[in-house]
Amino acid sequence: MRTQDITRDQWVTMIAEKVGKEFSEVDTLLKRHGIEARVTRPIPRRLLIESVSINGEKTGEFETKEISFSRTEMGPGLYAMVSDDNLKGKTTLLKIIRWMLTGLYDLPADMVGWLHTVTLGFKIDDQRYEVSVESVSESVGTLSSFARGKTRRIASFSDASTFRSVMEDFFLTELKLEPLIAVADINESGVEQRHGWNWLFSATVIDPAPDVLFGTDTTHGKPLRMMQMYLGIPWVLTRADLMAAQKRLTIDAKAVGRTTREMSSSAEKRLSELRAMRETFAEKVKTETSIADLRHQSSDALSVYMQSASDVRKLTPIVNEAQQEFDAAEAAVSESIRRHQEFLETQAAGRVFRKLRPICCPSCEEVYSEEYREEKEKKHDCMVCGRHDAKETEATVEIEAAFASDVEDAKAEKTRRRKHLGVVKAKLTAAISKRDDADRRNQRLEKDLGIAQSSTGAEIEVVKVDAQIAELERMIHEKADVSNWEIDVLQKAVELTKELYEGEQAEILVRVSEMTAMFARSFGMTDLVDVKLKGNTTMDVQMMGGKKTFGKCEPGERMRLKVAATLALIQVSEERGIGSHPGVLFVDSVANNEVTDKDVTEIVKGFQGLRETLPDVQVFISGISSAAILDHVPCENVIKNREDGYLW
Amino acid sequence: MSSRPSPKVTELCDQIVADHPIFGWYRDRARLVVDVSNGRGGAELKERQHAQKEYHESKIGDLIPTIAGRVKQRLQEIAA
Repeated sequence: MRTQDITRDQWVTMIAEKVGKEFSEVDTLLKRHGIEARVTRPIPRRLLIESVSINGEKTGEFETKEISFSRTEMGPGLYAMVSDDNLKGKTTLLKIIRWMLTGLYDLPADMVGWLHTVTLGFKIDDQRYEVSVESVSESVGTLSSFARGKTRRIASFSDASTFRSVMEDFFLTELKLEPLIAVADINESGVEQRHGWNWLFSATVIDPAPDVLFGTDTTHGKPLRMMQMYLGIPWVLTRADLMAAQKRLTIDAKAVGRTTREMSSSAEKRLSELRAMRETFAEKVKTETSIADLRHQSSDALSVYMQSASDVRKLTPIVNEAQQEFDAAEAAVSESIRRHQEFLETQAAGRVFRKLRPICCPSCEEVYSEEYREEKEKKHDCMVCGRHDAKETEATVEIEAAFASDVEDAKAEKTRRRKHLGVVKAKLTAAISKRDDADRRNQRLEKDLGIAQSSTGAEIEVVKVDAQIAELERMIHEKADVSNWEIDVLQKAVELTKELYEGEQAEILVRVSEMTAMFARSFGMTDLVDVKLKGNTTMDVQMMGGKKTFGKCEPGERMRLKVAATLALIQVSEERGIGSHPGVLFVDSVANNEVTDKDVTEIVKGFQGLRETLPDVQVFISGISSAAILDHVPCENVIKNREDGYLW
Repeated sequence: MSSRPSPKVTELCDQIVADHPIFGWYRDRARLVVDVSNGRGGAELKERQHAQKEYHESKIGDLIPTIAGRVKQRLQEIAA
């Protein structure tokens, strides 16, 4: 399955259809994250180390202090760096070559100041280049190319950082490689990490006891990315970019989520406090008379006052009238008694006077004559005033009874009037009392109302707290606008993009597995039955004795499997005409790890056999000088220690 | 003028009161007046009575207004 014919627009359309978004939305999202359709299939190119020369002076007790090492006219094939003992400069020589190719200085600290100039000549396919460090201490140098008899300076560098940058740009461009951008979650923050040429170069280095099949680092799926890149599988870096963008957004969303949660946590705490406050105020409201209640009570009191004042006004003249009527009745009683008394006294006086026989006038004292007396007595006239003195008759008794009756009537009337007066007076007293009570109550309520209005009562506090609670609840429920849809789109794009190449990759891995098994057997793993390299770069190793994974293999087996897998990768790239592995291998300490001479022989023979299968691949091995190496590596390709024991 | 009525008068008055108890009140009043009049006779007492405005202005058949308040006040002034 080959997918190189899918254009960027088609790819974006596929994603948009899959996620149910507009083309423009997905297009904008991808562009914002700098994600492009990286579908270029690199044509395999070969790096060939042609020459290396080192000059300088060793410090310390050395037989030969001058450093003047030079190796020229190297070509494809197997090169061996051997010495009779360890620590004689084999590994350092490999490190120097690596430094010159990557700009990454990693030499032993005790060698500081030893090297003065280093020059490395190399070819990429047929194009010759030279990197020359004129001042090792200051990392000053140039990268040049040679063509048509001319030397052209590609770049200069004057410090270690620039040196690294120059070599990175050069090799990524020339080998059609691209850096891997990964996003690391450091302290819950997305940190972008760029893995470029130095990381990719690690695919050329085979350490004595490798833990990883491709490269040296397992983070961010680097072994898989490295394998895919060197196999020239399309869309891989696009997918890596998508995953990086997705991770970046996820970390951002987590950070936003954390901030939101922290904010929510504080808000929830405050909310609990406010709810408790509200409860307290609400309880207080139950016992506290509200302003509205006070106004209502005041209004009621005022109504009572007005009604009772009106009653007082109505009852006052009624009481006054009743009083007057009672007074009149009382006067009438006195009058009737007086008249009755007067009548009785008059009757008695008459009876007394009729018995008296006055001799003379009580005023002038003139003596009454006998004739005058008889005449008056006869006529029943008063001798003094001459007024007729009627004799008592039966009518007199009736009159007296009438007077007595008048007295009784007057008394009865007085009693009625007294009762009526008592009733209306009681009503008036009650009305006055009610009016005065209402007046006092109203005054007190007015005072309470004034106090309530000038202070914030519990009722007002409840309203305030309710408003605060509503605001906080709104804040808590208003989650930050996390762009989850963007994460979802990127996730779908990751899945879809993987579908674009996983079929092709599966086919390639089958072939790589076959080639790995073949190479591993050529390196002496004769018990190896089968190798299955999986899409996640784990490797199942089927030995005659059983099945195990790459990680469970012995160090020597792992080294051979790693070399085999790398060579298989190069071989498959070569077969397909697609891939970007530079075709150089640096195998350090090949004779270590309990590898027997027989095994070393087989490994070396295996490398030597590459002349047939991969004739343009260049392999550098290092190890203790032994027949196993020297018998199988052409003597002109052996870099052996001098008589003083050192290689340089 | 003698302040003591004659036995005949006394007898008559007693007879009147006996016959007409209604006059007992007058007898009692008269005795009281005699007790406090310090020997004054009818004309003199009449003159003193009419010196009181309430009494002087009273017509026959009127309720004679009381002067008790003024009398009590005067007594208090005398006692003081």
